[in-house]
Amino acid sequence: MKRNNIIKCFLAGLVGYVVITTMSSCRFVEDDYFDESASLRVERTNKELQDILVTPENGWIMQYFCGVGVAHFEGFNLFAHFDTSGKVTLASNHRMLRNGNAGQYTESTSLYSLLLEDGPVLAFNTWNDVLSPFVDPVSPYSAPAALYKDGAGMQGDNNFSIISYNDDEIIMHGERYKGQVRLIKCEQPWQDYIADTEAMKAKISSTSIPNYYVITDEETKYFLTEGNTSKMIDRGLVSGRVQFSEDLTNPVHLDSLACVFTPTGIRFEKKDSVGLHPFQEFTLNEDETALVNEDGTIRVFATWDHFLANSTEIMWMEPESLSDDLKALSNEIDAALTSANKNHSLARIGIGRTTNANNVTGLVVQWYTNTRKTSRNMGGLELERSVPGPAQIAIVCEPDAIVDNNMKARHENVISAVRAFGAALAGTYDVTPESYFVPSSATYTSADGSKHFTVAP
Amino acid sequence: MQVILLTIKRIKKMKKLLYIFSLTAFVLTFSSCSSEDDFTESIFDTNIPVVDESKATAPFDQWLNENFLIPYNVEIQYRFNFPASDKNFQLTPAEYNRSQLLAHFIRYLFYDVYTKYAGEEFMKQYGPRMFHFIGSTGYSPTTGTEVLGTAAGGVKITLYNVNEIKPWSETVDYTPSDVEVLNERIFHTMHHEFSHILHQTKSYPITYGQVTSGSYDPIDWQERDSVTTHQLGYVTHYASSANYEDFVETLSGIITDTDARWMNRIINACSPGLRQGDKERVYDLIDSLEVDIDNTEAHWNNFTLYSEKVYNQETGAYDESDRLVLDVHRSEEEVVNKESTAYVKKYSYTEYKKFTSFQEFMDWVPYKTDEGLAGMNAILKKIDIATEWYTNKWGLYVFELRREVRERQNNIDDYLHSDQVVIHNIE
Repeated sequence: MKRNNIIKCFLAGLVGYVVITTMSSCRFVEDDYFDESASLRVERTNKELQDILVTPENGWIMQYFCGVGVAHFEGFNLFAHFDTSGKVTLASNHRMLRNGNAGQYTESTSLYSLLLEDGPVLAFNTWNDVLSPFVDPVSPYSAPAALYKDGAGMQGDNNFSIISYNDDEIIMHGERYKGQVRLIKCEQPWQDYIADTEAMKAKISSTSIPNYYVITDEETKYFLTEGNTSKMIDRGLVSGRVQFSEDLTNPVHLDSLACVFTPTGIRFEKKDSVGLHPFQEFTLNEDETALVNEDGTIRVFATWDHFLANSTEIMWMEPESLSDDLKALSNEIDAALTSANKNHSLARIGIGRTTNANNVTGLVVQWYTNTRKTSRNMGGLELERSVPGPAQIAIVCEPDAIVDNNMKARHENVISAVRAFGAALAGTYDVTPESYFVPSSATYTSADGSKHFTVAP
Repeated sequence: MQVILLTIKRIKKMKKLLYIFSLTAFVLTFSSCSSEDDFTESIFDTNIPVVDESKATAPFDQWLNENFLIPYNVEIQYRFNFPASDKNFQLTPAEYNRSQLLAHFIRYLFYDVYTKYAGEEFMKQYGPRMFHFIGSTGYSPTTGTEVLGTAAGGVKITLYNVNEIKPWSETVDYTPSDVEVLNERIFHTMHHEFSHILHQTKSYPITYGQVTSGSYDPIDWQERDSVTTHQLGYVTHYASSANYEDFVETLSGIITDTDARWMNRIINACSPGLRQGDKERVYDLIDSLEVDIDNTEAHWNNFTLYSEKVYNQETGAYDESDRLVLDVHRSEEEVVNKESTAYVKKYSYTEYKKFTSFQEFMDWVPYKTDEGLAGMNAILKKIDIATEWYTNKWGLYVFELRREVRERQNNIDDYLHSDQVVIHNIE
């Protein structure tokens, strides 16, 4: 009896199940989260993308990055013009162009497709002379002069998953190596964009001053670009790669970043931050004293003060810029030179390294050796320079500072006058450069304003 | 007992009911979604033209349709298909104009050849369904090897290295060395991969793999040089990697390898000695290959064998080896010297004997009874098995295919400048 009840219950349950499944199985519950299926959405996205791609008259700027992990390569500016027939014309003047075109503006036309994969994919799927060298598995350190297969190449991609898009910007990443690539609507002829970018590059990068301050209100970090000759990477920001570091002289490496140059500054491949301040793109500010990030909280400029303090390149003092005391002392040097040899007279005074034998770094005195002032000689007095704080340079002249052989050969009055000038020069100066990025003239002003002078290359 | 029986009976009845009920439920559940509507016309537009005339590639796509898709149901993927490519390699897309040229070559030097001798249906039935063109080789930096082609499941052949094909122009001339490059880099691979498809369809005799069963080396085959490879009884280095690779290398070698390549191979394989009766078979092979044995300009009628010594990094001396090396196969390889201070030549060579004719060489080659002597005897055996299989299973004479391919290659410039070849430039 009990068993029969169990069976009855079971049967009742089964009947219930059948009724539910039979009656409910045809009832389509349409939750309107989306109007269409995933595949239709991707297809519609591709149609939209297709329209967006072919619209801009001047095509697109393509900020192209390749490689994984450490930034082995700079970012490259390419240009792309898509048409409705499936053709894409790419152009650039990058250094990896082959057939003798490295650094030369080159255009190449090939095919592209918008593919329907897990999401939309922009595929450059036939060889293109401008793009494909980044993908070709040949050693990037001998290319483009010699093409040796190495199986990896620059680890560039030619298929890109679309991350986001609008009429003016498309963000994608490589399907294989995930390098970030950004398409931005180009508002000017490509050659003009290249010229503007090159002008900006010249303005903000120099192989003489390879390092940069990265300053927020809270802290200072550095972009270091010391270069690597064994891998043929240029020194300076011109290499398009920086090491983001905690320290200048004892680099603690935070990250390596690749960037492209733009007509207004630089843009890194990926977002990064200094403390709570994010950055990706830097724009040169109006007074050209710094590259500033998107929200203006980070300022980047070259460590020009360290350059001035450490450089051996001679920076000459402009005579009219000398404060009165320095001017008087320079006149005394001139007088002592002429007194010792009537044919001699002071030519100019500078700071740097003398070029003659037994050279010293410090004060450089150059004099004429004939009355026609066509022949010159120079001698030096050692000075010590340092950077006590940003935009400050301290000059120390010891009483027994050494002089080079040429100076030693001068009359003692000349040497005394030079030592007097060096002693007067000693002190701490606030320094203002003409350019915050490349070697330029700079004005030194002592804290009390009593001493000042301007130096220039 | 009765109760129990009744219960059992009831349960059995219930069970039967359950079965019927379950079956009904199953049918109801699964049939309840079936459409009551009759099928109507497809909701999709089935009249879309196969070739999109608005595309820059329309003329070439049309040509592909007419020459591959319609007659052979073959798709040629000249656009790089990343998801379908081998992710073990970093690869580049093929250049569009070279892809067009290669498609013409495939038609002229491959499909038309097989169709001529095997009939219209052969390639329709056994030909690959898809070609995928890749611009670069599949280069492996760890082994230094390059993949030139792959065949997958008898359906798809992937051809690499398309960007090294000499490009077409209105004035292009394909020299014999250009044709050799084409054969070496593309068509040897094509016939190799197609032979894989054929033997995957109809297996070849197990005896083939037994000829040199002890010396296949799937790991370090690339370490073997030409002399060792041939003297072990293989036509190429890669043939020595596995018996199925050996089989297809032998067939594709017969169809595409140059006379010079075959004669070098034969000289290398014969130089340690021949077995009784093999000299005649060598001449028969040369005859089948249609090599002009009396060509006085040819290398095989003016060559030198060198005896070889190998640098010993422990003693710093060159030790005798028992190999005789053909002049063109002398190695320039270097190794670190005993003191680890410099690189020195790995091999030193001394002229052993100069020959002014192939006949003179064959007269010099000694007969040997050494059972371990593989070389030419093994190559001859394998050629016999492979060609016989080709004939018995497929009704094809491999040497006839070779003749046809060579004839077409000799006329390749006429073909390239005929109205059959149109390369559509998209620049």
